[in-house]
Amino acid sequence: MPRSPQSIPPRPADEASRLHTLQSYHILDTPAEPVFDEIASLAARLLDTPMALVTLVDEDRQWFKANVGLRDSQSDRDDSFCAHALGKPDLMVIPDAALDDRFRDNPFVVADPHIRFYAGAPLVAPDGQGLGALCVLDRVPRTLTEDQATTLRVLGRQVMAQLELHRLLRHAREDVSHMHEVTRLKNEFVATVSHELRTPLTSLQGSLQLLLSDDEALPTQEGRDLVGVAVKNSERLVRIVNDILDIAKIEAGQLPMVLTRLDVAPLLEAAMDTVRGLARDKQLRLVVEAADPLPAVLVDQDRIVQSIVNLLSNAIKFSPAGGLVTLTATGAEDVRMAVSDQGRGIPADQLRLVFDKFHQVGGPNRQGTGLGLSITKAIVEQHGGRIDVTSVVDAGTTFTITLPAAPPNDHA
Amino acid sequence: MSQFLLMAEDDPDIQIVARMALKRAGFRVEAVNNGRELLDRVRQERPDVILLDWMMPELNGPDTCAALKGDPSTADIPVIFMTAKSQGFEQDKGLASGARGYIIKPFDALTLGDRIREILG
Repeated sequence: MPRSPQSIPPRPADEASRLHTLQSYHILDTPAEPVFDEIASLAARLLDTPMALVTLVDEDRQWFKANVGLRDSQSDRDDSFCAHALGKPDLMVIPDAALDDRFRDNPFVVADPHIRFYAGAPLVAPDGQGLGALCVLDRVPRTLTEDQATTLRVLGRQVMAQLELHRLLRHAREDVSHMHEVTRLKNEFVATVSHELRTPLTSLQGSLQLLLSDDEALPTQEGRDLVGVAVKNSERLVRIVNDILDIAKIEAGQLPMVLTRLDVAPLLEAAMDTVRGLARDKQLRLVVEAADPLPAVLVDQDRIVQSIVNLLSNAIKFSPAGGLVTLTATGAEDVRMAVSDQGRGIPADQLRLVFDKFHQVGGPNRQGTGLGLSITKAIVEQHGGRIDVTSVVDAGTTFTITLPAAPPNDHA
Repeated sequence: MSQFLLMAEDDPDIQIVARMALKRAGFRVEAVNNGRELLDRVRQERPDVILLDWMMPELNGPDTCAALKGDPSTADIPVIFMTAKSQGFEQDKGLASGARGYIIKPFDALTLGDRIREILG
């Protein structure tokens, strides 16, 4: 049956940019969502109609985001009532479609579902583009009361608000995943650079070590002193590379840990053994005191020893010559391992900064990377523990690692 | 009789350092540049221990190790990885592919021989 020209909904002048706006909502052909279904049901109930739709007018079709009382999920754009409502500043109300030139030969009017009454609140994007409508439909001619018209307007704005929320949420998710990607690339870069640094460092450090240990190749004390400086600094470079790599792993959430049920005392001894040389160089006294009994802990041995060594190295570094560094362990429900020095202490205003990356108490020093404490903190926290610090200026500092006790052996 | 150690390492400088460190530690050392050359050399003379770099051209460390372990005539030669690839190494296929152990670069040149003997047990 030929259609009268006025029955075809007119295309807005800036249809291309209207479609662009519509697409930016990524709503077409998405699954039904309760919030849109509920608004459509509410509209049908409050306006007392058997049918209600949330429609979006696409290039050649109108698609229903919500549908009360109709079988279809979409229709031809040319058959759409709502396409006529696009760009309308307010409600479009058709009291009797059979009497309206635009709709009298519409297939939805002349055949099932035999629509006679239409009222639609246009959905208008913030940029002014019409996207579709929230509409109610009936099979008998009728009108809207003033209250019903207001209700439809308000609900239409709620649909638009939901669409807007939808779009913003999607943007936020995209931003977050983009941020994750940037972080991943950064960590990958750091890992690659660290690896590339290790290769030249291996031959550099190895050559110097071999040279220094060969009295024939290096006959003078001056020569040995100079190579000694070079060895010490290449070792320092290796520590920096290792620390940076650890931080990259921590930030990527990829610090691998192999948890084993272990007694505390041997962990303390292992850490002490590592730093004995350092302490001797400064003529410090190292004292270790472990309560007995102590509960076992569930830890990655290397990482926990690394953490205690970090604290001990710091204590030694900041101790005056001849001072005392103690490592104690106590506990029952949990295990507290404390490292104390008699150093110059940390001012109160700096205490909370000590775990920050690259922060160095009292400004940069030549020995550290400023990463040790933040690595230690991350390791301890990954074990479900925590690290605390107390300090008295000119008296000393105590760092305490608290770890949960291992659960009791289930095969006991 | 000193033990014959065969090493695959694509960095010539590391070859020099490791060879010198291990010679001092009492090994007879030979170095080749990649896994392919190592497999050829192993067929000519059976080493007592193999030291493998992880990333190498031609044939990398893990694939070389798999080839050695897949051949009954070489499967029982102990393989040790020596690698700068420390990240996530523990979960890698290094040990799973039948290696005896691994040494992270940079290694300590003065104790490298001891480390290897320790791993060999």
